[in-house]
Amino acid sequence: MESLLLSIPILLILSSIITGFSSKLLNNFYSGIISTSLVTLSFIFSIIICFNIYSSDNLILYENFYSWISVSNFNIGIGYLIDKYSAAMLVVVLLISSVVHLYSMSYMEKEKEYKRFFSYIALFTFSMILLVISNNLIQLFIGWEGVGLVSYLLIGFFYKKRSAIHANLKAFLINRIGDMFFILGIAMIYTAFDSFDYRTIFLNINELDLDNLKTYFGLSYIDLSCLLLFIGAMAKSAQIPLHIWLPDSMEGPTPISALIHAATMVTAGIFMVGRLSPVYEMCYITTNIILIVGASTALFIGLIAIFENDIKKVIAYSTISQLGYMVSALGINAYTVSFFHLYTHAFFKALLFLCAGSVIMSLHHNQDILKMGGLKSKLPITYICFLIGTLSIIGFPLTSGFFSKDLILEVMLYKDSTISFVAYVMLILGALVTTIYSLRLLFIVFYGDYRGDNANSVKEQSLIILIPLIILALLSLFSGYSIKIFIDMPIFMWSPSEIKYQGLLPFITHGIFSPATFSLLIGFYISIKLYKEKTDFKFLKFFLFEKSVVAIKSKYKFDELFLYLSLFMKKSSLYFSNKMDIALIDGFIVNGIPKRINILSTYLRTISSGYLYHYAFLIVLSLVIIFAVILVRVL
Amino acid sequence: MIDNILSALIWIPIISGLLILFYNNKHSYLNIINISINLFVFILSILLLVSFNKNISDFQFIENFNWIPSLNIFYYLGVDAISVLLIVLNTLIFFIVSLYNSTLKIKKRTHYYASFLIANGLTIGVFSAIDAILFYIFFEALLIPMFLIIGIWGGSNRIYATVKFFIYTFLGSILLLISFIYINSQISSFNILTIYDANFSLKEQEWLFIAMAIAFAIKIPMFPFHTWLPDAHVEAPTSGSVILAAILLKVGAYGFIRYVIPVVPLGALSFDIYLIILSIIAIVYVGIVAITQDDMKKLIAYSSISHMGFVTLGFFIIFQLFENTSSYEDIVISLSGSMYQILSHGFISAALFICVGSIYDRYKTKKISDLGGIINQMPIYSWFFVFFALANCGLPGTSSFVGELIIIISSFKANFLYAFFASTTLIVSAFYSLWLVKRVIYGEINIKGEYIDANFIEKVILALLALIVLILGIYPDYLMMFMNSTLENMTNNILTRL
Repeated sequence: MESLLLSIPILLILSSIITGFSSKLLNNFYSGIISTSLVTLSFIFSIIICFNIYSSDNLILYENFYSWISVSNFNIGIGYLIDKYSAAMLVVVLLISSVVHLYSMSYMEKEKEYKRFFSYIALFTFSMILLVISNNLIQLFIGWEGVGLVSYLLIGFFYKKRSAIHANLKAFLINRIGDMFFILGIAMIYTAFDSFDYRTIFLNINELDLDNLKTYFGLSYIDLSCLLLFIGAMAKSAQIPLHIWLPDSMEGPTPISALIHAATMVTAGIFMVGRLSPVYEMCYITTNIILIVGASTALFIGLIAIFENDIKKVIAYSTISQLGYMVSALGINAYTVSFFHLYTHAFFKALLFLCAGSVIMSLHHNQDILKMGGLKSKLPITYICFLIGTLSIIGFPLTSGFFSKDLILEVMLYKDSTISFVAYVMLILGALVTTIYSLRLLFIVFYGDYRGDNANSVKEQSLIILIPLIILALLSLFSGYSIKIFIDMPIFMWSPSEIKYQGLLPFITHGIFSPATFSLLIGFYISIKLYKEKTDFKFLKFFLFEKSVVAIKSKYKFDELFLYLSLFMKKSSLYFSNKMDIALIDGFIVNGIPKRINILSTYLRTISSGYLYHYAFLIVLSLVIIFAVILVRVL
Repeated sequence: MIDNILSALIWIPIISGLLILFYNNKHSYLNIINISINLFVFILSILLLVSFNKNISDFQFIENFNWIPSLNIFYYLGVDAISVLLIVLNTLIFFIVSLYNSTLKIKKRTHYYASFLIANGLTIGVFSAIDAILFYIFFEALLIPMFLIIGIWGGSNRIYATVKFFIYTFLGSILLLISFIYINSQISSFNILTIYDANFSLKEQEWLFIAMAIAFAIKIPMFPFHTWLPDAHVEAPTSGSVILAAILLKVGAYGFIRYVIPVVPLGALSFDIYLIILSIIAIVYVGIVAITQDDMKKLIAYSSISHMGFVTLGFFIIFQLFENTSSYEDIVISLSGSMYQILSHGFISAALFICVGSIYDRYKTKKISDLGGIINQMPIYSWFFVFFALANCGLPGTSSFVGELIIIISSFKANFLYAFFASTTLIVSAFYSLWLVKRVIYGEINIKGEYIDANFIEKVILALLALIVLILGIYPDYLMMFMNSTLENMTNNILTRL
């Protein structure tokens, strides 16, 4: 087991090195094959590990590969802690990654820097694995920054494109804002527990002397540290207001979007909070903040997707909105429920992106949905897969999204507080919004008439593209039935809070007769009327409605806010540089003092003129002054 | 040989530097001779590293004889773990510089090489002197080759820069000399070990602290004594910048940890808050200033100052740390974080300056606004640049992460606000490093033409530095353990005298 676990990261980093540094030794095709098979091999290993973990009752694997730093009480190891939670995550990440690897072999075929791409995605998976299997906060942070780094490289993969190198810098900087708070959170946790190690933290959490810890800004110590960690998660998992990097990340190649949105990177924030759930259990205020952030992200960012016309960006906004659902569940302390949605979402989101990739390829890199349409007959397999993905994301009964989303909505009602009820309402509305934008995309892209050019050249892609789609479609359909595993899943050694669950059938019937299904029906009605039959509703012309559409279309001006902030940084940089460093320190002091000495010396030089009568006069003058002083003193 | 290894390390480069002056500038073996001397010194320093016993916290490889009896000055050499690591950093950087120099077209080649060789030996002297006056002599003498390197082989405005550099550091040195003389007048010894045991009154310690802290603050440099560095870097030739950033700044940091904090701990205690504030200003303010610099060298120079802010922060939070946690280990960790930052910055800044120097050699400009899309013309070289820029913003897996992480965590234990301001470097350093990359490396080509990608020697140099940066980032434990007992001893020494 240990050697299997160790070999997973080694295989991935090996794959990255082989494809990255074998400049002329390997041709593109073979390096793709090698990379894909190494990832698939590590996926198989992860299945074996997961099987072992789940077949025993309470097996937790914990070991250090090596010690990163160990001076006195500052101990950081690079190692692993595998319980049911991280084992499941391991499988999800590696599954999505292998599928994306396979897909990329065809998608990136014509790309000149094919091998660099494979090197990156292997490194991406490696960083994520490092994060997932970690047994301490520092290794988590290393993986955390690692995925940030590789996303930077991948979003800027087409480094000649201005928009791409703008987007990747933006993504990195926004993530760095989160990381800054994250590292402060780590420092707080370390100071309280004197350890970075999860096991030590979790086992000592009940002995923690909460009264003796400081409070900051009215927040308790644990509340603040969890909040700081959560701000890190907000950047990674794209929550308001740190979400703006994610839509821009669409500048990268499409397979990357699938990888970023489904399994690696954006899920890291959700995973982290779940991983540290024993600590988050002790929060009071922070969980409410998490709930509000999650619910508002789910609703408000979902709204943006309705008015977006770039196929990838619609799916990107839908990711943010779905992440909002996961975060909301975290806010109610239902970590495994959130994780369940992460798990089902990974499949249908990867599916949607890869379908979008297939569409984009077929249409020769056209991403504008207004130039698509009627692709149902031209791309039948892609259409069916996309349909399955859409049904899953809107939570159509019996698809995987149905189970996970319903469970989230259900747990919202467990807590008897106003905030959680408000969140519940927002999430129901969010479900409606999800239905509208997903079906809109489906109708505009696949129904009606084709609106682009070169209608004849549009045809289905090769099998290497279609096999991943079919695999993911099947998973999207059936992965929801493993709901029981997630309901019973313990995180580390604690079972999470009680979830009412009486078996699959009651759950399904209960789910079908819930407000969520009602909102689904309304959504269906609205989107069929609006986007399929193109009906004009009168109330859409209503003044207030049009105003709010303008607000939504402006994306609530968050981009402008960050643009302003970065401009402010540059302006203050210029100001400091010119006014402080150059003018004040250098001009006034460093060069100013010698200048003044020079002036003084030229002045003194005029006194020493060399004429005797000048000197005689000065002597007499000085004597007069001296005697005058003495005289004044004596008197 | 091993008994006199320190003398050998100091005098072999100095003497061979003087001998190389007798060669003809166009001598065909000149490069090879220069490289092999530097290589030999490097190997010798590795020998020192290997034979150093890291479990003993006392000075080792001691050489001691009475040099000027009437003035109480000894030729007293010895190293502890800190010195050994800095010596290895030094010899390695000089070896790399000698490799890099062999690829360049330089006027007065022998003089150039001689200056570097002499600087190499003198720096080793700085790091291994135990006698304060001996330290001072090396410290001062080191100015001469640097003065010449910038003044003779520098850019157009070199005279201004080199005079500014010289006067600034000389001002500090005078204060240092006065402090040493005062100490000698009180305890009649220049021996650092005796000085460590001396008990000065609070008043004396405060005055000594001010004098010596200014001397080293100029050298590091700390805000507001930092303006000489960007100018010196801009005018210095590439190899000079490398030495300046990777070695000379470290002399200042070394001075703090060897001659200031352990010598006058009470003085440091009374002024620590001011130095902490200056360090934070260096981290935040200087980092922000770096963002819009249009000269690449200036940008990296400012980023160096910002990174050295971490070093001084790690040094001066130890008193508050002790007050808060009364844990002796926390201090050791904070100091090791600073030491790690020193070493890491040595490699990363050297690499960045070599990168910028190569751009300058090819495109004849250092201005960011003139450049763009270099990756299309020189891909291999550009990936190295991206790597070191990422290392410069403290990415995990590279060496700079280790020091910054430790110092941020330690400073949190001292005060939440310190940690808050220190951690803004995550944003600021990413901003200036990656915005630089965006404008220079990525995008469309600005200066058209055929440019030769990194040549073999450049590739070797950059790959070597990248490897070191990675190894130090992936497995920091070796160095941490190496320094541990020395730093524990030092901490003990400081704490017992508080």
